[in-house]
Formats: sequence, C-alpha cells, structure tokens
Amino acid sequence: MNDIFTKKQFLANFLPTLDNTLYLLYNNSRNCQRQDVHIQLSLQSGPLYEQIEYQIRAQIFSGELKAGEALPSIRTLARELTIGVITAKRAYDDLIAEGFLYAVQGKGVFVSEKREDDLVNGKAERLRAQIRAAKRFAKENGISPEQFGKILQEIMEEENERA
Amino acid sequence: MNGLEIKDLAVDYGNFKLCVSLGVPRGCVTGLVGRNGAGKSTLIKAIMRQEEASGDILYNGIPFWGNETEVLRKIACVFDSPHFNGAIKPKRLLKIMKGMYPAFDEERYHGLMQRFGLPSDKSVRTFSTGMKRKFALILALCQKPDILLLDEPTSGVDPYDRGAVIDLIQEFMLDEGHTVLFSTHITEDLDKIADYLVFLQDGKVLLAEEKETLCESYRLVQVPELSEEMKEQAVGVQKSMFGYTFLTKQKEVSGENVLVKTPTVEEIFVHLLGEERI
Repeated sequence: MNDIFTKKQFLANFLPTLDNTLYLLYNNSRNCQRQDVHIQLSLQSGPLYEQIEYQIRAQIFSGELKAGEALPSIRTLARELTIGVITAKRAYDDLIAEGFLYAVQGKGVFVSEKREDDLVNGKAERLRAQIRAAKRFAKENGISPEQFGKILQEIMEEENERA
Repeated sequence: MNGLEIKDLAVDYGNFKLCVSLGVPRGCVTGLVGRNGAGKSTLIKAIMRQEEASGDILYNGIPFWGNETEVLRKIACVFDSPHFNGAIKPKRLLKIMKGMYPAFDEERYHGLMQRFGLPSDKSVRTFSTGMKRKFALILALCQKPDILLLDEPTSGVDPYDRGAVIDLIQEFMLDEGHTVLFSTHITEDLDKIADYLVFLQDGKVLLAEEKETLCESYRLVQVPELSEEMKEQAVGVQKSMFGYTFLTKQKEVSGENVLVKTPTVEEIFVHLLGEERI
C-alpha cells in the first residue's frame, strides 16, 4: 500500500508553495525561452509587471540581452507567461520610458544601445529592487518612512562596526 | 473601439431583471464575475442573441439588426453545458459546423483535436468534462470569430486542462482585433489573464474596471479589533474568531497588529459581493 501524506508533507517534496504548485509544473515547461529571454514570475513577490521589468533590466545589464536584439511581442509575452495583455504592455511601456527598450512601429520591441554608466547602474538596479521590496513591506505593515530610514541607518552602522 | 458596446440591454424574467450598459474593450480579456444568479449566463446568452432582450449591442461597431448573418458568424460562444446531442460524434458535428460556418477552419480543427488527443469517432457522451470543454472551445475557435464569449469554460476542469484552455484563450488573443468575455468562478484564472473585470450583482453592473487598477485601488486589511474610524472606511467586513478582514480604499492603514496587502480578485469578490458578517 502507498503511504498517505499530509498536505504539508506532500508539498514539502516540492519547493514551490501551495499557491504555485500545479501551475508551476505546467508553466515552467513553457517559460519564455525564445530569444533567450528568461522570465520567471511568482505570484507572491509583488506586481507582475515589476517582476518582468526587473528581470529584463537585469539581463540587459548582464549582457545576456544585447543591443538591437528583438523581444517577444506584447501578446506573445502575455501568452507565454500566462498574464494579461495590459500587464505585459505596462512592463514594456515602463522599460521604453526608462530607455532600456525601444519600439519600432510594426516591427516590435528591441533592446537599446548600452549607456556608459550601465555597469554601475546594473548593480545599483539590483540593490534598488531589493530596497523597493523592503519599502513595500514597510508600507504594507504600517512602518513610516522615517522609521524605515532609521532602520536602514541602523543596518548601515551595524555593518560599519563589523568592518 | 470596443469589441462589444452594450447599451441598455434588458432581459425580464419576471422575478429577475437584467439591465446592463457596458463596453467590452477590443484586444483584451474581460472577466465577468458575480455570485450565482447575478445574471452572468443571461448576459452572455443575450449577447449571443439566444435570449430575448431589448436595447442595443454593437459588435465591433456593427449593429445586430440588418447584419444578422455577419454578426452571428463573427461571434462564438462556449456555454456552461454543451449544446450538442451527446450521441453525436465529432466527425458528424464537423460536417454540420462546416455547413453553418463557411469560414470554418478544418485544418486547425484537426490540428487542435490531435493536440488535445480528442477522438473523432467516439460519441461526445463518452468524453470527460474536461474533454467536452476543450472540444466546445475548439469548435468555437474554428468558427474564426472576432468575439469569443465563454461561460464558465474552466469549471469542473482539472488544473492541467485548465492551463490548456487558458492557453487556447491567450493564443486567440495574439490577434489584437479579437475580444474575449469570460465568466468564471475560478478567480485564479482571472488573476492571471484578465485585463478588465466586470462585477455583476442582481442583474446590474456593480463595477467595470481594469484589473490591476482595481486590485491596486483597494487594500485588504486584517485587524484584531475594529475601531470606529476603520469602520467608516471599511467595505465588506468579515468577522472571524481572530478578528476582522475588510477592504478599504485608504492608502495608509497602520496600527498595532494590522496586516495589509493588495487583494486578489477572489478577495475583492468575497468582500464586495458577499454579505457583511460582523
């Protein structure tokens, strides 16, 4: 006879949490692989368009996405990631506004030329994303901007002591 | 332009009245939600002209009266229960569909039947719920519609097949001239692919808005004790053993032991359409 697991034991065999399991198995095999754009979304880590923006930016900074390279169309991106068309459009629109991508009417969306300060920006961008996540947590849990700033200051000082 | 422009559509069942004015944006997926009996299926039937209704509907800008054949060939629907006789085999149904819809895409039909492993020579009665839903959707898609209406296309379908159904809908949406109106109780599907949401309540539109804007306009708050100040701003308060949960449009909610998050479609549904429990 097969063992019967509790839900918790059963799910412990998979890394993703309950929210994601079955869909993740399905989605993973179809995550956006074309043109070497790798995007993985999680329902738990903030707005989907921000996750897409962050991951595309990171790939531009790391050189995985090169200047002039074409990205999937809005509607293909939406389908491949199982998200709404408007969500996909918002991610691209933001990246175009920031200058990371540019659109050619009737042709699609492409990666912009790299700028001089991109390398520094690349690391700064990752840091920014993490601080943004912390800020969102603070806001949602009623921690005021002053308190947030103070905590940040405290952490910086901790580091100094250790150094 | 809107894929569907519904003006003063009214259906009267005596004890139930549906009265709807609504624009369904072209190129987008619009989710239709509401409790049982809110009028979702009636609205879809009325749009499909299978229910007697007063008022006007424009289909991609074209009025129904005077263009009946053109309109009916451009809209397709998957109803919550299949409309065909269970004894019929897909092979025979294909012939009927080809007669009814000259543009019926037979090549695509065979391709999709194969992709989903549906047999052409077994009666539809022997199909499982998931197979029937997929089959109905394939028939609807192969009519090459511009507007696709779906009434509970994913209910009673297992998660893997639901993924397949959702993918077919998104494949349809690759053409920006296409429009989908999609009623469902599985709000998880809407969380993923819907661009707009329409909430129906007692035959009327309670609200119609872009999904992300709607979800971000609300905060879901959990508190151990409900203060008078909170009560004024709270929507759909639900009490449990451990405290209260409610929606609010307030941007900043703070206090001790207060948990705040952006709500999902399901949470908005429960709190907006459910009865308050205090």
